[in-house]
Amino acid sequence: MLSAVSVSSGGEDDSFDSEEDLMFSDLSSEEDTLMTTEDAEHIAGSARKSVFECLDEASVSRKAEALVVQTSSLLSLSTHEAKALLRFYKWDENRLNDEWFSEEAKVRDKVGLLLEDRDKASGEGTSTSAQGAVDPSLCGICFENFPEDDMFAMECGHGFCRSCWNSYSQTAIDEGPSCLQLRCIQPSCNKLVTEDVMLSLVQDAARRDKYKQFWLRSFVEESRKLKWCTAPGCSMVLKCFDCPASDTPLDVRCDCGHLFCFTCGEETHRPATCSMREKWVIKNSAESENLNWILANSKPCPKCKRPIEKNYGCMHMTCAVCKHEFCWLCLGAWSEHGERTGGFYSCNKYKSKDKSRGADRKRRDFARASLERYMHYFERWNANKASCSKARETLDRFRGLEDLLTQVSTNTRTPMSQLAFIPEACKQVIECRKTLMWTYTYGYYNFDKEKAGNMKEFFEFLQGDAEYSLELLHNCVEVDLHKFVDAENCGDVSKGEFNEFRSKLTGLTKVTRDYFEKLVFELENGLEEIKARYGSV
Amino acid sequence: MALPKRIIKETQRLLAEPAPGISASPSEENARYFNVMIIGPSTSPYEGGVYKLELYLPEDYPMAAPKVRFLTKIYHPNIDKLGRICLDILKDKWSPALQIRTVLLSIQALLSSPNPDDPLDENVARQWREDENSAINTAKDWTRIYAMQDN
Repeated sequence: MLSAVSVSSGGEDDSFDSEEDLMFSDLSSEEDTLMTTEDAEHIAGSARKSVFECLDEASVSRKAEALVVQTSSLLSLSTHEAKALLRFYKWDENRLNDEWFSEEAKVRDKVGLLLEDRDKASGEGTSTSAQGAVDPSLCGICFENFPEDDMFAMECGHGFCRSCWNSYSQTAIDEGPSCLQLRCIQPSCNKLVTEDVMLSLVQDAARRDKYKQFWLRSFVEESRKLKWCTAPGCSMVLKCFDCPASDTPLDVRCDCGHLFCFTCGEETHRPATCSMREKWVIKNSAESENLNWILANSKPCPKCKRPIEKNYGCMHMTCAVCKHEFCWLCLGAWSEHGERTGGFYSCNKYKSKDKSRGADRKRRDFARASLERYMHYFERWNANKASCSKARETLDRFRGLEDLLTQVSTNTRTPMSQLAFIPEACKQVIECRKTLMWTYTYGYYNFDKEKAGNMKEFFEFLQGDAEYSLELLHNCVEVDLHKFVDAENCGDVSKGEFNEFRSKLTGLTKVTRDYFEKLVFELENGLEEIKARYGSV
Repeated sequence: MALPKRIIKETQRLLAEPAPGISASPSEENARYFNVMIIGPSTSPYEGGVYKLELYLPEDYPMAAPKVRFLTKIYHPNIDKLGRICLDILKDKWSPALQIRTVLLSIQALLSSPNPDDPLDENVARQWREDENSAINTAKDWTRIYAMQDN
């Protein structure tokens, strides 16, 4: 059956998926309905290729050049001028065109491409640079005289010797990307040093490369549609065709395998929004939650005010720091507790007039409740995070020296090419753990008030379904798989048993993927829709 | 290392035609290190004071700005306790076409017109914004205490 499928399927990449489909429907017909997914092409429901593409540096450069050439012919300017203009407008050719055609002079002034009156400018230049002595052969920087050929000036006419121009440009490149907007040496002059001038002045190869690299970086970092891959050492560029709104996450996968959110550049975090992720991460690391805990679980020593936690024992407290003895209940000095004052435990009697302490307790209760709520979400977020890295370790072992898959392949006498469903399941676990992790953040921020009502139940219902399915899958890929890895069991493994495992795992992968896609879809499109569709509970 | 012609010429000119109220002379040990004196501009709170500064021309001068610092204590929103000066041409607005003379003239101008909206010493600047008269009096006191020869 398997070989037949392999032959019939056309594309290399699709073969495993279609194989799984067919095999699954063959072996477990009762779950057949769950498997009719239209989407056999992508993994784990995220990072769809259709909305972005992955480019290497060379093709990014080509794209930048093409844009420059196109702009230069449209505006009838040199390519260097067009490049400078595009950089100024963050490589947004539409904005540039709009402003250029409505007020060219203003744009020229801002960017430093002013068409100056050469005679006037040069007269002014020499007089200031040489302190009154009108001598076109004197460089105003190094105060040396040069033959005319060794002097250089841009269109603005401010002449200085080539050697000074050279150090001026090199210093600018050494200072960083601001060299892309370097102006004339003459302090009063706004003339931009364009790329052609820069490259004619700087001969040092390392600095020329650096300068060209600054242009490429500007193009990638300032265009809204481009982002560097955030994996360390990767120099690929992701291009998004249709940029999402500022807080809407978009998962992209670089060709290097790295998966990240295009909008914020951080790890993927759907269904939580980018700002939710940020708030959550800050919250997790912030001291504020510690303070809440202290507030909820400790009382300040009445004498030295240091926070004290009572973990066991009687109400007679002795501060570990200042040795002050006091009563935990009323915070009065223990010396006043005695038969004289109505018994040691007279503080059990409720005194209603003591209002301030009531308010204090209320505050403490509130702090405790909000802390408990946070802990609930954080623990689950964190557990899934840990699970996710565990699953990643498992996946890494498939690529390691003691390749688990090779063992499985030998033990079950199955060709490697037919084992792709195992790492696939593993990848699914990783993706789902990650998603699940962020649903807790989503839940923490979306259902914090009573207003959530039924919506919270819907959310928890969907989350519960997805989580249950993921648990089955995770268990299957981590526990069941070991039966086929352990060499001792080698002889016991029958083909049938392995086929059963295969169908179970592929099935679970599909089911889980579907659940998670649904979960993310519903959460991102708002639970309102579910309410409309299924009515309120 | 031989001194660049630019520095030699600038030094000669500084000594031959000093700017009014400013004197700058290179140290005997190091021709890149200048002892500078600026006379407090009249009609400023620094009037009557004589301010000592040090000025150093770094290796890559004139591509990099000279380093200047007040040695005499001064109460000024753009000059801090250590005498460091907040002045654009000493930082990102530096141009190799500027010179020692232009830098010192700018510092002199800064004494005449303090800019509390772009402060280096936030405490002084706050005082300057909230109660200019008392800030000016403090500046005058400091001038008398720290910048007059008799003291």
